[in-house]
Amino acid sequence: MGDAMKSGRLTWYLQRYSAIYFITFLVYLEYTFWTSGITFQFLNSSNLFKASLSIFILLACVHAYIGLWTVGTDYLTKRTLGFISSGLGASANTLRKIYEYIFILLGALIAALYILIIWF
Amino acid sequence: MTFVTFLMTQNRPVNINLLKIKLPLSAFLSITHRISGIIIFFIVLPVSVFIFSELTQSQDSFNNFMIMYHKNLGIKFGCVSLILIFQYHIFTGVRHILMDFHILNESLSSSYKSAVTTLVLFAVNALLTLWVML
Repeated sequence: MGDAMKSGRLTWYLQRYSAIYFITFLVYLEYTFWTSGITFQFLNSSNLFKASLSIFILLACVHAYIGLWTVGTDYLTKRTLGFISSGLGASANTLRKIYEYIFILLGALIAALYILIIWF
Repeated sequence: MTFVTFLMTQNRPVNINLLKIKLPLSAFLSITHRISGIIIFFIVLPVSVFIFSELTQSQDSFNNFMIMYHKNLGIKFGCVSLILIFQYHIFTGVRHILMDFHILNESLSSSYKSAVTTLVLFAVNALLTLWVML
């Protein structure tokens, strides 16, 4: 898992540019909310909405992966968990791996469910 | 020997109790940006899957959700707080983006000013959200 994160520049830009996409998408949603309203018809038949929401969810998972990975490698370490207890510090690497698998699985599940609900 | 016990044997003042350290405002915004991000991923996003499926299943389920939303105060306040957490992450995130791309100066004073501005804008936005959603 760590290998894909070694190119720090790419992940740094991925997280920032995805954030810019989120802002654009939210402005579009806000505009729709105030002009025509968010109705059942809009959610189900606007292809622009369905496509942009799909991209939003996929990018959100990438954005969250990078963010949660950063948080994990910052706080779930031998040093920081060692502040609590040395036993916890010793198993920091295992705990971080478990945490990483959990958020990867949850992210994949969320993305899959959204894509299914949007398009099928 | 943990880091803490190491410092204690050094016999000099230590204060690593995070609750006792006074964070600068910009550090407070940074850490709460992370916390809100974690909450969004583990709570807001999973709940939003359920709500989105309710809203798109059929016109009936859309209407049912709307009726539930206006009748059940718990659901209403739950939704509003999830949205406010999301908006908080967006507002503090915009500030970080502006600093990352050097649109905002990274000096101590300008970082403090932008932090205050972010919180004020978020408060205004929160009032607007409460007015629209309640």
